[in-house]
Amino acid sequence: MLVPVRCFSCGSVIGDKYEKFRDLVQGGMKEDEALDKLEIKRYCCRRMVLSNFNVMDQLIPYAESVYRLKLQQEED
Amino acid sequence: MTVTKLAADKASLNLRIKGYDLDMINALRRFCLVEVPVLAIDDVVILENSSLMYDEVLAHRLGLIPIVTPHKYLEGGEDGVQVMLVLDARAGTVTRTIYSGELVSAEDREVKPASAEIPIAELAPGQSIKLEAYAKLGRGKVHAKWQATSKAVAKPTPVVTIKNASTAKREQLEGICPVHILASKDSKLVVTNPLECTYCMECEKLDPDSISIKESKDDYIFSLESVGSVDAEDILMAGVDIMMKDFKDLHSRVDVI
Repeated sequence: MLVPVRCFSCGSVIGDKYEKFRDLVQGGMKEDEALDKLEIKRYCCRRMVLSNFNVMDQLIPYAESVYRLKLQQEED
Repeated sequence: MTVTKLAADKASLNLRIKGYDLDMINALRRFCLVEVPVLAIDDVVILENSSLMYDEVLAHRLGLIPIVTPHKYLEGGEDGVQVMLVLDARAGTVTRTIYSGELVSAEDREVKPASAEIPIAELAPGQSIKLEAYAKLGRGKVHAKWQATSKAVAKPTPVVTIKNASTAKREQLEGICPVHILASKDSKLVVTNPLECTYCMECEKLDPDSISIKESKDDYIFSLESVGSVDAEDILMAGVDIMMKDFKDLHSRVDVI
């Protein structure tokens, strides 16, 4: 699914930090530096962001193709 | 008995409390953690959900979003007071993510998600979500979503004593400390900030003859971290107030006997 809203262990909000983290890492920053920059201090929160895998990205293409199919049918 | 502020901002608070027993500080810690009432989404009426996310998962995510709780709820609010928030989102021709910022309340403008950037769901073209969410006042002891703090900790103030400042293992000691509070200056070992010590004891293990770490008694460092619904200082004050109220209640009950 999507990023968890909160850290499983301590309950601090990490949902709003994942996308910033992803952008920083894609921009060439090291993972640990990015986590430090986002002020994610405890290792429970760090693993939440570091080990997240967005399953939604793999499911969305199916929904997109359903939409395209529908458009096509309407045209026909 | 003294209380000094070490660091404070909206999100966190660090105090050094001298002269109180651990029992007292622990009670305060637990009240801050579990008894301070905050708003959190508890009931969700889903009018429309064609997204890939199940209704239950969606509702669970909404519940975990911290909601800004204005003062009036903290002071006079009873458990169960509710405020309605609305989410009405639709994807046009491209896939988009809906964020917590789209969750708005018409009843009370001050009530809103503490962060506007928490992803709630992803919508493919043509999909939509329409729902009513009821934020209710509750306490952390019922469910973790009502906890105002993500950290409420008391640790005894560390006493770092250097017995032999010119030890040969200076460099090693400097390198082994995970919080970097040991430094070697002018060929002498010095402690830069003893309050940061985490009691890992690595330095004492390495060189027990030249350094010792001890816990002080009746001297604690109390730190709070807010989730965003209430400011850290307000959590502490509310915690103290509720604790006093409970003690007074107990007192009046004992008086009757």
